[in-house]
Amino acid sequence: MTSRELADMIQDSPAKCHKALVKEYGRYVYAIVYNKLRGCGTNEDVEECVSDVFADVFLKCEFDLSLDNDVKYLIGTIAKRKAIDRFRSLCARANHMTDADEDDIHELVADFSVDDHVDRSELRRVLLDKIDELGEPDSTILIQKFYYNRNSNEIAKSVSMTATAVRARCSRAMNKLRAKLVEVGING
Amino acid sequence: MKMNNIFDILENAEDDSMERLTDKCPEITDAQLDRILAMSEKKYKTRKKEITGNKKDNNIKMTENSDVSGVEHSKRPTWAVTLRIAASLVLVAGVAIGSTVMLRRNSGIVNDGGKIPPAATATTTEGSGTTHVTTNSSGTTIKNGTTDKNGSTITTVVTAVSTAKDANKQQSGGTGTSGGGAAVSSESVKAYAGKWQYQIATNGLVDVSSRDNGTVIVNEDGTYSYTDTNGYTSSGKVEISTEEIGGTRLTTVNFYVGGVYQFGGYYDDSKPYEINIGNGGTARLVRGDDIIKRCEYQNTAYELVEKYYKMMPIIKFRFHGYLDLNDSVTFKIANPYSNGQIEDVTFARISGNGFEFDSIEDIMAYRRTVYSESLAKRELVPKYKTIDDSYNSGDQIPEADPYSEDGLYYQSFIIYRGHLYANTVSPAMGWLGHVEPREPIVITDITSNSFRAYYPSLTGEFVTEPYTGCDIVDFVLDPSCGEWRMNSLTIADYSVYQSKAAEAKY
Repeated sequence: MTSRELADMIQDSPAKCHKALVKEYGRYVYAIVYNKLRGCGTNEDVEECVSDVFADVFLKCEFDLSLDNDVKYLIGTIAKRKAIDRFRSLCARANHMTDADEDDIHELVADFSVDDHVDRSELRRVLLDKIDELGEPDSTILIQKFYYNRNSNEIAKSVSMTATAVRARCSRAMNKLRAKLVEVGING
Repeated sequence: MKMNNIFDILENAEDDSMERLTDKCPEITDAQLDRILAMSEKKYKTRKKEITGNKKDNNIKMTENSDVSGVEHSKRPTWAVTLRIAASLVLVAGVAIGSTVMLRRNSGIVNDGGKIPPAATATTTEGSGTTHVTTNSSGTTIKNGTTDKNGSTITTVVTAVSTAKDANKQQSGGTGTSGGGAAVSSESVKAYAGKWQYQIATNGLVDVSSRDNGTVIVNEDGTYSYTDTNGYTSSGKVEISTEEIGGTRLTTVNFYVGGVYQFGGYYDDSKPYEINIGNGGTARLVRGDDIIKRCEYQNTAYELVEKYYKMMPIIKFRFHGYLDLNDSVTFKIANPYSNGQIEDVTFARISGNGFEFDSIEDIMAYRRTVYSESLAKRELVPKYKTIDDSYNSGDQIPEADPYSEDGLYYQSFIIYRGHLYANTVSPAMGWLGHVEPREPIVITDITSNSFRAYYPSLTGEFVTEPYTGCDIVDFVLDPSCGEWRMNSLTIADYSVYQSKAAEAKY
């Protein structure tokens, strides 16, 4: 969907346009937000943040929409920024963060390691490659179960299988994945 | 046991990884979409109102010198004034009426000559049709009968087991005693004589998965001794009594030390192997060599299997958290993940929290605290490579084929100048996860030196998920140390556990 198409839709009916946006990009925004908040927020936090993103998108559409661009990138950027803001806010709430003294500043600066970041990035790609190698529906089952924390019944609906079959496949797929990771030296 | 999830690494993904994760994102349900849309609309309208409101409000001016002038308009609904007046009147009237009532309440006090009436009176009545009977050691029966408010009759018959000295006192004085002193032989206690195991529930209700809380030995003379799991022993006297509640007759077995009640429970004739302690089924005493042995073996299986799962990630992932980076060496070696680019790789000694390992043999010895000798031999020795002593920390170590399995980068451990070091650089992620059992471990095939355990297992860390597998673990009494060890572990479907659990009768 381009900005021009969106602008036309808003003129026609803003409510219809909002609904279409949420339907079209809801899953995309959810995935981005979930990726940032998975470790610190609840499902309610994720949904709250997703609604924040769309509220911003609706405003952007109404007041500041540059034409002819693909809206997806705009929505993706808003989602990332909102999710990072929410992540900081949740972490601050969890840690009861106080103002840092000057003495503590150096510790904050040293918090990010480029090497670690690169290692994790590489590891992430290897893991996703190995999961993809398992093929469907195993890769989807593993990601939905262990990354998206869905239970077997929910996964069963999305892959059109029974919950029992999902559990069995999941167990076997996990063993296969473990073996594949060992092959590339990831278990030591 | 909670362990890191390998999938945590997927958090904070870059754009390309994010695309792949989005593809596998579960569909959002219609209800969820509606909820998100409703929340978004609400927020959107609020923010839009703020934006348009700010634009319209031209009453407040701000000059270049940051001087602010003007009047902020506040709009309050006219009905709010009426409401406030009404609320104030109600409040004032309430205070006035309340004060009057409180003052009038104490005005009726009659002077009765200085006597202060008691704060409470108690009347004791004996219910009709009740009999108090108790039987003492000399055969006299003293019955205590009570009728509760529901009309059920509760009758307690106490068989007091007391010392010969106490018994003489009772015979002369005609009164029963409760608790304290050594006991004389009693026929009723004989039925309970023997060894009992004290168990406490770990999952709400006491069952075969319960944990050991010590051993109770009841003697025929009515005395008992209790040894807890720390080896502390106490001894005292056992009292058997019966209670009848709503027509059901229950036997109670109570344990006293020096007249002070320690613990006790109900005995049901249909389950002669147990005394239920407390009302909620949270603890019990069990007897019978077979069931006690099964309980002991459950504890053994639990401890060793849990240690195995704890040990696996520690060894596989190179003692993450126990590496001493102040005692390390760094070599320049080819990284097979970066097309053979030469990189610094640090290897550190393992120390702290009881993991003072300085050789592969130390690691193998640690394994043998869980594995039998034969299983330890079958298990692979952790990957390691010996580095020539001529190299110094900081040197580059050339390799003919850094991409092969023998490549230094792939090695978990190195032996260098007589010491063991663990690799700190190459990929090491969290364990895939294991959850300790929420259901009883089923023990079968007991012999004098072996038994088998069916252990419900779950891969992942989601304790609410149904089980997916069954670990079948064989244990042997290892002759080299005289202790139980795991001899083999095979993985089966959860259905295997279910069928074994259904067969198990306790």
